Amino acid sequence: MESKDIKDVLTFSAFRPEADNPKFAWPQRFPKKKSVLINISRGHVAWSILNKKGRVEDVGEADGEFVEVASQMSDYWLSNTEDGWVGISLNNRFIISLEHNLSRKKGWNEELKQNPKSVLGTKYDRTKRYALHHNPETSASLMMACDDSMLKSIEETMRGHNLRPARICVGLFAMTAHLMNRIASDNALKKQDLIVVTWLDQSLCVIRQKEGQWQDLRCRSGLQPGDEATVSQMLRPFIEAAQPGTRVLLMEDRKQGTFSQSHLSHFGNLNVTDVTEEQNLWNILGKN
Amino acid sequence: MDNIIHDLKTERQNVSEGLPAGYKLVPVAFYIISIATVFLCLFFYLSKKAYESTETVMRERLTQAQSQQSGFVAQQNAISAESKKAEGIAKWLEGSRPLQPVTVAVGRSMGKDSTVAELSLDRNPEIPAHTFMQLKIDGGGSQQLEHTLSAINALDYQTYSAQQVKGRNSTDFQATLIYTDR
Repeated sequence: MESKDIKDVLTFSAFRPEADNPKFAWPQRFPKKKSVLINISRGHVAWSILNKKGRVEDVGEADGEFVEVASQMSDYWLSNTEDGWVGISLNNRFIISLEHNLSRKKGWNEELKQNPKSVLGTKYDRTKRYALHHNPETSASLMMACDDSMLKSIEETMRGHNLRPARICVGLFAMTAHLMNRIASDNALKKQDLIVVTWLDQSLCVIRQKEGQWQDLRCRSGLQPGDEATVSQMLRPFIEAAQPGTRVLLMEDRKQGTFSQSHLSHFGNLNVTDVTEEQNLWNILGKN
Repeated sequence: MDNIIHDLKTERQNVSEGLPAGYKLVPVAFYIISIATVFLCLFFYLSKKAYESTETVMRERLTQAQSQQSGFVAQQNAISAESKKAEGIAKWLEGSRPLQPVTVAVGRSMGKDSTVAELSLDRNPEIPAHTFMQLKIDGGGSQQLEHTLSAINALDYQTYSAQQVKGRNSTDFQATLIYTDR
């Protein structure tokens, strides 16, 4: 037994989960501690400092690839973390798709990490890492796949700057899952004909839900800024199939974000409800 | 609802979930004991300080009492010495009774055939109550000596270490006379 172990017991930190234990929510891993969340997009990095109460204290962003930004900002991030642990939201080189009849047997979450092929079957690609979000009432699931090489590259870059990933997730997938859960728990919303749009710093995910069924999904990550044509192309099938009573639910990473400012005109006369809250992405990542 | 955030990082082996909550009793007990120890140390420290101050006061009182006692003892000794001196004087005064009645009693005790040939009364200056008497009586014999001694006894004098020597017509007698207060 080392003196650190004794200190951890006396400060009660030995009774808390380790910072990189994925079974626990962020506030449980960093109780009364400052933490840093970073969103890595294509050619753009944004970050947020959470104070000891878990509230957003400071935000910042910089253009450039993560490797470049990390070399400039790592000291600042380190000074605002406990032992160099940070939370990463990956916003590039991933794809979200709609799947059906995936295995949901007990422990599927652990199985997805250890033996993803047993959960995904033929859809498994060894160069990807996966996350799933199931519709609680149907056999549909959202499947997110991101590049294994991209994750390894981020981990390597962080190691080079004495930073340690407490968590690496895909922010857009987390936002989408959060919004789908919210819809599923609201009986009024659940029965409506919905186009669910989630937008996070040039990444877009659009889902059509009708009477509780997820019918269609399109997703693109790392869009070029001002790429109006691609966004329009992605939204068109949903808008064309929309009924007069179809409602659009929009969630962005922040209030009055890029999508609200540039792409709302695509929905024409459809009823658009923006459910984005202040510091939406950081609050979702910092509270779950 | 399941967890909405799925961790994609490369998992580290043996990631701890933290010790069981029941074990929190260990540090809690440690802190309780630590606090109790601090309070006890404080209590004992204050008690020791209070005892030391009381002891200092008691020592001062003891010193004061001892100095008073030695004063009293000195006074007592002085009084005792004065008393002894006074007793000596009183005894001396008591012992130095006038010897004239003895000479008168010896003279009057003489019969018609007897005379006092010699009479000597020497008082011991150290013990004034003791008077050494030498008496020589001519004539009268033992009867006259007994008569004379009876007269001396009548004056409350006792004779000690008496010696008597009879001559052909005289009697030598010597003894220590001590006055007895009846």
